[in-house]
Amino acid sequence: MNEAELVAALKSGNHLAVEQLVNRYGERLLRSVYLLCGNETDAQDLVQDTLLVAIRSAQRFHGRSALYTWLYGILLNLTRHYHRKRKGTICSDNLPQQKLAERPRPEHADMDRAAFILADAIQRLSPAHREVIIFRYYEGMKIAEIASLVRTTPGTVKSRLHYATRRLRELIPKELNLFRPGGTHKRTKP
Amino acid sequence: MNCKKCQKLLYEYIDEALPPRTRASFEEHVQGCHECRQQLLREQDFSGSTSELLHRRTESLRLRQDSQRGLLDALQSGASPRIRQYGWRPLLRPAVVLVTAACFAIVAAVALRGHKPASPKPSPTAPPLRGPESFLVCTATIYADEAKTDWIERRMIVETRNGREGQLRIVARKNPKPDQTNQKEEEQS
Repeated sequence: MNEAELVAALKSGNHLAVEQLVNRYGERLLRSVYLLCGNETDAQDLVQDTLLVAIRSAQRFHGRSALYTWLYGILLNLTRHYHRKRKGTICSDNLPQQKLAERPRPEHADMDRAAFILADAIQRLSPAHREVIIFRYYEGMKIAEIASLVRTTPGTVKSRLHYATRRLRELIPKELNLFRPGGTHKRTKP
Repeated sequence: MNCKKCQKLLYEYIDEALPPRTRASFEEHVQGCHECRQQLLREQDFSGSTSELLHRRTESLRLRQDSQRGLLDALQSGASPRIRQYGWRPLLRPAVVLVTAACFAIVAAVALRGHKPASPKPSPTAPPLRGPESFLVCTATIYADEAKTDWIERRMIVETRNGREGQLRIVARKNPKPDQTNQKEEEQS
């Protein structure tokens, strides 16, 4: 089932389409929203709500953007609402540390620690800065796409990226080598 | 292309969103400028490293087993999302506009009702007042010595109706000739 067929099936209320939608986009959305909200349980709820809203309003999808972009727009709105609701509370990362420890790849423990430090530093950014960092470096979006998604100008996106990167530079220990040419590759790939 | 322009177009270059001529100009500058070349490499490496680390961080995440079942149940039961997309917030903006407009209307009404035209204050550049009706009070006679001259002179401090103070000087000839002006009046502010 290609994207157009999936949308048509969703509009007709086909249950198989729901299964396809969850399988195709569920985990991708979950991983992205986990980085945005920093809490796995809330990330699961946000994904389920996103898919629920998307299925109910499938009639309003006219194919002007990719289906994932449309889903991501819904997810972003819900995440922003989530942040407003949880303003002032501290998010705790509940991704089980045991999972990381149990991985049969001890040679990559260094990279896991670096990944943990980076994700933790991203959580300390303001929501606007966190969004652009995740859209740019995790989702691999172009500046114009980010500007369209967050409804601002490309100049503002570039400015936010600049300040967010500068803040990350302060938060991340220098030994991680994230901001030097070669970055972590130099350290982990001898 | 200079360094400033080059740094401004860095993201567009990486996104391959520059027109061919600008792209060529950018590459030409980067070839010759060590600082800009380093910045481009730094950004590309930071992008690669960050992407790799964040994917590593999230690769163990899986959707809940009951996610699909929960979604179907929610669709069948017509339940609303747990985290509501729209609450009272969409109403906030019109409410703020209405309250602000009402406040302005009240302030304007009160100001117009309590408004009285202010009495005109004499400006420093106003012409001196003339005519007997302008003078309200004569507070003192300050000079009255005409024994040694042919002239009678009186000077008085006067106050006008608007509270303005000045001097009035009256000069007259003791034995006036019929063709001469026998009296002068002037006011000094």
